[in-house]
Amino acid sequence: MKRIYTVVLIGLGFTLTSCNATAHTEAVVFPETISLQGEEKAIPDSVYLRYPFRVRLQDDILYIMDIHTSGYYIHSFTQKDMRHIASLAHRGEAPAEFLGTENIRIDERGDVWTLDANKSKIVKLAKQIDGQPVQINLDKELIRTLDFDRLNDSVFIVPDYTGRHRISFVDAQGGILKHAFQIPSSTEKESPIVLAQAWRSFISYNPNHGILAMATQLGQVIEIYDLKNERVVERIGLDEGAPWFENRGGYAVPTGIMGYSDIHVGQEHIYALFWGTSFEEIRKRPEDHKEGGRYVHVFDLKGKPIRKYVLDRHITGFHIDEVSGKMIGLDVNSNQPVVEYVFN
Amino acid sequence: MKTYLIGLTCLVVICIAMNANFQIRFDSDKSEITLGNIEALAQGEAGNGNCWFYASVDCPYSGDKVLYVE
Repeated sequence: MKRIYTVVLIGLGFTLTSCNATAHTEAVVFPETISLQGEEKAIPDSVYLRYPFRVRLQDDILYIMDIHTSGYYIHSFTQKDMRHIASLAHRGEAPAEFLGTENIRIDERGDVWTLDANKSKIVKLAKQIDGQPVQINLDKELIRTLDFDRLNDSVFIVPDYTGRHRISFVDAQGGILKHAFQIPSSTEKESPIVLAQAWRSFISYNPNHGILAMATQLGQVIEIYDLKNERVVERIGLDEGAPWFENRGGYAVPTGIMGYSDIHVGQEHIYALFWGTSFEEIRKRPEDHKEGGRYVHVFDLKGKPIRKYVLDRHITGFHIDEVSGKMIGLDVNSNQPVVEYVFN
Repeated sequence: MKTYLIGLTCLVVICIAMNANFQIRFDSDKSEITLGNIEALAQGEAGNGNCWFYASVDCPYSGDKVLYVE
């Protein structure tokens, strides 16, 4: 009898104490963790950023994209003193206006490109107010293209919701040139569109070495592809980090975690911004939830985990400059959202 | 027998206290935060689901960027 009680006692002890420790299971283990303190870069002008989500730096000009604007989606600032230069991509239903923007890409000439998923078009924004933007209407075969990057001067890389392929290549007229790879899900019986919704990913491509990386928003998977040789390099976190979802009437409803929200492929490393917040927590207390992630995961180009940066605040998007060792982050929870980190 | 029952009770109390402590620390961290620029909304209804609050998750029903989907 005593022995039974002893076993029950030990078992209960283990069960109860382990309950506290399982808030999140890390899909990837990093050999090094470094804490970073940010420095706020105040915007002196009266530019209100409601939900800044993307930031890019080119030639000392900072471009910030606000996904919930009532006016312009993109604003440019001088990097040095955060003076407002211009506002681009006006919200509206007119042909030259936008119903949303998903990302900012800047080409070698300094031209700013963006993607309007609602209008299914990639646009090179006009530098002058009276200038005409270049609009590329995407092939109607693509369903809800939610991110893009430039393969070269005339070809774009896009993921979409068809779910039949992982990415597609489109030309300067918006036509599909070819498709590549597959969603790395083990759920083969699921509808392709539902799978594509669940595996919604952010992308980054570096033309210098041809590496494309994709980060799942609703899970903890990083996919690395070598586009020059059209091969899969690595898929990190497939076992523990695959997105959790339920198919409700043909729609993927996320039930797991907020995973990655931005990714950058540098010359030597891949940087991915990780949140790790469970949707259960968010649903229970949405008013207390803090938007953004505090973790920047760093991998080498073959997918080997290198280190994890732990930030002093939550950010939604970043710009990484490997040469200067600086990162610019966007803290949506603050009225002064631009934060600079030094990581080298 | 009595000793084991007392031991068991003590362990349960300790575990509950640990859990409560964890919960309190977790809650106090969160009490300092606000949702900043996010406003409530209830849109994206598609018969069987809703999307809540403006944020960055793509609502599968409407295409809005939201905080969570039900």
